Parts: sequence; C-alpha cells; structure tokens
Amino acid sequence: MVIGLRKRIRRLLDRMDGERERVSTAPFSIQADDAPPPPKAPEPLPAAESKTTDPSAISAEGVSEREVVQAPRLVDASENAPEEDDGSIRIKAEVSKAGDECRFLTNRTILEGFSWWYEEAQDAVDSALPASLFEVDGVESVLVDDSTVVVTRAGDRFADWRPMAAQVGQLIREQLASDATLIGQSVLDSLPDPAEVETTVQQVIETEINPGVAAHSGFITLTHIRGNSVTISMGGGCQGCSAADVTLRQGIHKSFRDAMPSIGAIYDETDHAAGLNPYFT
Amino acid sequence: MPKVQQFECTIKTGKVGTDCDVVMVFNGHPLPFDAPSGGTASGETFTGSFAPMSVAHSISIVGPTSGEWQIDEIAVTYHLDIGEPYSARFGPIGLDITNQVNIWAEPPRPTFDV
Repeated sequence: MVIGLRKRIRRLLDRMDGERERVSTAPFSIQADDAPPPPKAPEPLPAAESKTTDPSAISAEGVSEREVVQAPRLVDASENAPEEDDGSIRIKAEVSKAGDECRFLTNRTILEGFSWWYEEAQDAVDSALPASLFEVDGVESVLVDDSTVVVTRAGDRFADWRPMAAQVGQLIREQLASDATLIGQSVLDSLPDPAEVETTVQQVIETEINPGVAAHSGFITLTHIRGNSVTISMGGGCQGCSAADVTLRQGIHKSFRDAMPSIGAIYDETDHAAGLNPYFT
Repeated sequence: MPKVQQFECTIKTGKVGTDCDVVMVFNGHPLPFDAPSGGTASGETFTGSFAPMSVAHSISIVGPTSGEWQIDEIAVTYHLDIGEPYSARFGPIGLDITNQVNIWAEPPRPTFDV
C-alpha cells in the first residue's frame, strides 16, 4: 500500500513538473501519511556577528611602541572578607615567587608602622621573636614588618617550604602568645625618622644607583616611604629585565643599607610585565 | 616557569565601541583569537580564546588602529600546565592608537595556614 501511494505521488509530481513553470511558481507539497516531511529550506545565514581578530594591521614593531596600560584589578568582596576574630592567633604563610623567602602574615602587630631586618642571629640578641627563628635550621635572615615576618632560607629555592613554614609558624605563634620582648629595645631606639630615610634614599638613588643602571638605560624611582620601609619602582631597561631581582637585592638593598643601616623592608612595586625595553629579556 | 596552555578572554565594551579588529599580543607577537564571538560595539561583549602552550611574559589587548575604545571590564581565565585554572578581572580602561592593556595575571601565590 505504501509503495502504491509513493508511485502515485511520483506520477503526480512528474505530471505537475511541466505545468509548474507555466501555471505557478508558488511552493507546493504532497505528503503521504507515512512519508517523511520534506526538508525545510535552510535559513539564510545571519550576517557575521563575530568580531574579527585579524592582527595584520598591527606589526610587532608597532606594538612595541605602544604604552602598556594597566586596568584596575577587580577583586570579589568575598576574597577580602575579614576573618572572624575569635581571639586566636592566625598565621598565613605565602611563598615568594622566587621561592627563596616566605612571608608569614599574622593578625598581631609586632612592630607598629616600622620594619627591621635581621641579617644574622647576632643581630637578634635582645629580640626574642627573630632570635627563636634563627634557631630553625636553614633560616638565613629575618625581616619583621609591622604584623608580617619574612624569612629567607639558604639552599634549594624550589624545595617544599611547608616543613620549614610549619616550624617557623609554630615558633611565631609561641612567641606572640608569650610575654617575651619580641623586638629588642636596641632596635626600638634605632628606628629612624621617616623624613631622614626619604632624604637618604633619594640621595643614594640620584648619586649612586641611577648613574650605575643608566648604562643599561634604566632608572630607579622612590615611590613610597612608610616608617623606615622603602618602596621603589624600576623603569627603562630595568623594567622587565630578567636581572632586575639581582639588581634589587645585590645592588639597591646594599646601597641603601650601607648608607643607612636602620632601613627596614625594601619593596619593588614595578610592573615588570609592562616593561617595553628590558635590558635582559 | 609554568606554561599557559590556553586562556579565554571576555571583553565588555562600555560607552564607546570600536569597529577595529580585536588584536591580542602574546609575548610581543600580534595574534588572532581562536573562535571569536560577540562584538565590540557599545554595550556588546566579545569573547575569544587562544592556546599558546608557552611561558607567558606578557599578554595584552591592543588599542584600536583608529578612534577610541572604552572597555568596562575584561575577564580572563588562564589554564596553565600545572595547578588549577584561575581567573582575573580588570576594570574600566580607555584604549586608543597609542596604547595596549595588559591582561596577564600571574597565578596566585600558594598560601597556607601554619
């Protein structure tokens, strides 16, 4: 029965073929009960909505001449939500990008508004907190900055920090909970006037550091002083330079501390990713 | 250093859109996005991805070759060869023929309670 119906439809279509152009151009269809519906004509493709991303209009040379701007980083409110203060001592460890130091962020003020760098154990004879940390095997130097303790270690910078961090964290917690003199009086008596720090640092930058890094088309700028903590930024050939960290630690740190031993933390806030012409890539 | 296997970028255009192509620069090389969609007219959202499989030193979106482009927000999700994917969101920025905006954000440093 189905076959017969299809033959009749075929004959009907053949007969109508000749009349289609003469009689009408209107669409028509004949559909058997069990025949599949004819395919619908495809919808016309929508006009291209997608943005093109052809880079040919911009050369690599053209890109390098453009300034790299930084949009403000957006952070979800939940990421900065303060932890509930139940009176307990909280310590969070954060390993540096280079892997040679670990920051221990506490919820207790240790040296309010100032910082102090303990280069070796004998610097910490009357400061219980850093003195205890120097007893941990591998601890090279200790920096205390307000509520943060930064520990530098010797040896393999890629080794797992967790075992040593757990040890250091436990000692910091014990010291914070004790009545010990965390930072010695000799340190407190040596804290400099911030204005004096600014004058000295600026002078060192202008007379010693910038003439040196100028050979690599670089320059250093003093951006901020907080207590005796110094923040600098690097520009020109220093910005994005693969040797910038060496310049910072072996050049800038040394020059600043030679000029004023009571300088505490030294931070580099350079956006090295935005460097257009680094001396070493 | 970890390699960026792939990243996806979403750009929400603000009051001033652009007709120009969206050009991404990876380590100084202007490159097209894979599978771009959407637009950059005012109020529109553009999305694109790229699979560099390389260490990232810099990633940026180049300003238009003419006129201005006001961006309300850029969101990027990075997939590195180690660790979990992570995202960064950047706020309003104005681009033009003189500049490019950085969209590279290093992976968050591991932190742990001690």
